[in-house]
Formats: sequence, C-alpha cells, structure tokens
Amino acid sequence: MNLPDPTQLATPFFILAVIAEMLVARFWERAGYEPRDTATSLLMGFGSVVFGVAGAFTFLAAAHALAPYRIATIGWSWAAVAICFVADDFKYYWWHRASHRIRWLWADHVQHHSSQHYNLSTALRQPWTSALAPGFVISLPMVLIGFPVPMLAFVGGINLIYQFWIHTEVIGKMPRWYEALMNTPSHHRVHHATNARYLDANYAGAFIIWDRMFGTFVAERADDPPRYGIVKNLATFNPVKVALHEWVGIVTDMAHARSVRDAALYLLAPPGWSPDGSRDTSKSIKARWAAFRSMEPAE
Amino acid sequence: MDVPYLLASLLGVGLLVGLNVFLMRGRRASLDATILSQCLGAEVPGFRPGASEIAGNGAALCENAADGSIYLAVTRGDAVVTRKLSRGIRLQRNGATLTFVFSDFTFPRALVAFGDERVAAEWGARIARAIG
Repeated sequence: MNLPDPTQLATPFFILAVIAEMLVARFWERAGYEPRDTATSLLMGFGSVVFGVAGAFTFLAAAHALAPYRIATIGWSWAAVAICFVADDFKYYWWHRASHRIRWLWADHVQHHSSQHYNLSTALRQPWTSALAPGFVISLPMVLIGFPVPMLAFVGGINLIYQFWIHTEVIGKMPRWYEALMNTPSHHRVHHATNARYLDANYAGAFIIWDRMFGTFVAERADDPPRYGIVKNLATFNPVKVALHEWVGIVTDMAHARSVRDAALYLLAPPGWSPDGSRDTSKSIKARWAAFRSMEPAE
Repeated sequence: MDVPYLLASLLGVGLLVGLNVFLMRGRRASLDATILSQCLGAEVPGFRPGASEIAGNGAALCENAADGSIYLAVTRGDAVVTRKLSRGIRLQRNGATLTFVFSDFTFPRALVAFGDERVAAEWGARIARAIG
C-alpha cells in the first residue's frame, strides 16, 4: 500500500503555525522567539532531513531482512493502524527515556533540547547524528510481530506531527480529560525544563499514560515555571557545534579515561557521570535540590 | 527527498528567520544584579548571591556565598548563559579586562570589561583562589 509521507504533507502547516506563534510572541508576548535561535532550530530540522536519509535506508534494509521471519502478517485496516500507533508510541516512550539516561543516546537527543526557548521552531530542532544512535533498532521487534514497514513509517510520521504542536507556551492547559490521557504542551514543557523538579520527566510521545504508568510523570506547577534548555546551556548558535558538542565530549572523556570500565561508562552511564562524581548528573542535581529544599523553612 | 524540496525548505528557513528578525528586532537580554541572582538562584540549588560585578559588555561575575564558587554569565541573544568557573579555565587580565578561555568549544572566549583596573585585579585574585 502506498501512503503519503505525513511529515511532508504537514510542512505547510508547520510553517503557518510558526508564523502564527511568532505573531503571538510579538504582540501578546506569550512566547519567545530569538532570530539566531530560530535559525539554528530550523537549520537543525533541515539537516536532520538530509542526514536522516542514511538512517532511513539502514532501517529499511534491516526491516526487509527481518520481514521473512515475522511471526504474523498484519494486514491494512484502521484497527491495525491504531494498534500500530499505540505500540509505536509505547516503543517511543522507552527509547526516549533511554535517550535521557544513556549518554551515547543523549549525544544525539540533546540537540533537540539545546534551545533556551520553547516554541514551535524548537520542535523542528532535530538531531543530525541519529545514524550514530540508531533508534530504528527498537522498531525491529514490531517488524517481527508482523506490522508492515510502510505502516510503521506512517505511524512514526503521525507521531512526529503530534509532537510538533506541543512545543509551545501559547497554550496553557488542555481540558482535564485530555491532560490525563495525552501528551500536551504543559506536560512537554516540563520535559524540556531544567528546573531540578522537572528533570527526567514526561518522556511521552503522544500518550502521557506511559509516564503515569512507569512513574516518570511530573505535572507543571504555576509556582515553578519551566526554564528551558540543558543543564549547561550552550553559548553558541552554530548548528555544527550544537550537533557535535556531546559527541566531542564523549570522545574526549573516553580518550582520557583511566580504565576500559571508565571509558565504557563515559559512553553508557547517564549524562554527567564521571568516575569521581565531580560532575553533575540529573540525579545529583535533584538530590542537592531536595536537600536544600528540606532545609528551607516551611511556608 | 528531491533537490527542489530541499531548496524550497532552505528558502522557507530564510523567510521565517527574516520574519523573526523583523518582528523581534532590538530584543536582547540585559544583565543586572537582580536578573543575575534570579538566573543563578534558579540554576544552582542553594545559591546565595555574594559579591557580583556587572560589566558594561553584557557579561557578569557573581560569587555564590554558600560555597565561595564563582560564576560567569554572558548574554546570548535574549537569554543568559552561565558557567561555574573551575580548573581548566584560562584566565588573563589585561588592564581592567578579564578574559576567560574555556576548553568547552560551545562557550566562546568571554571578556569581562571592568571600569577600574583595581577591581579587575581583585576579581582576578578572587577567581584564582576559587578555582585553585
């Protein structure tokens, strides 16, 4: 079955939505846009399309190699597409969670988090180096289950489109039932925030229920507005530096590691890990924050 | 992925950035003592503002009175980026200006231009003590 590429079809909508949000930012100040930051985000999005071709071919090759070993043949139906979407989103949750907890994967994903702004252009700030952190591997079990490869590509595209509109400060909260079930701008603001309270939370793609089920859900609080970016923000708008900075950090650390174990942990431990514990991980930041908080007088 | 699609995308990027420049012209972050301590207070658990110096060129230094560490803050567009000063940073003083060179290639060389050479020397000595 031939399906259109949903993300290509959605491109005009992306552009119009960014323009609309810029106007809101200009006249109502409910969003922030900085030209060089916007340029970096959009160029990252452009580059991810160009550099993503290698990853897409690798996935297709692996999927076609595995297809003869599938345990079932799932045909095209609305029910199959719906189940595939939910299963793909479940897979996304775990991949996304791993991308925040394993430095190798974080080196790719951090590029998306590197803006200190949170607007629709941030949604388009996609990594250039995904071929080095191959997320497609986690999709292969779905091929083995029997979902057709074009269906996986289609639902993956729909998921990406869903995640576009939640990158905004213009929308406060959605209706209660929707906030309970789906990922929303409020939930995703928490995910992009560097406030200690919000670190390592809300990994959902489309359904927030995975975070609620697996203990990673944190609600946005009016008394702790999100601050965006990464723990050590980048003082550069250069997209090449944005794309490579964590990879360079990994290679440098591994080259100076004192043992094979340390070298492996620089790659596989959570971001910020160091043998002597002198650097900050999200866990150590949260622990320090909790300690200071417990010393503060009760309000 | 075809070439016209990519070229149209690049043109779209240019137009959107142009619109952004037009709509948001002149908006830049400014640093004052309040913004500096708010920023560091939010980023560093337990931060207590100590001595600080705001330079005229959009850079600032601030001491964390809780542990004596010193932070450098610079403006980047309409945002502020901070770094804790630690071992490995090269510090040079030239008259009333302190220059910081980081091994981190995402943080360009930063200049803090003080109004007074004596103040720059004092901060230089303070930083040298803080980073050992």
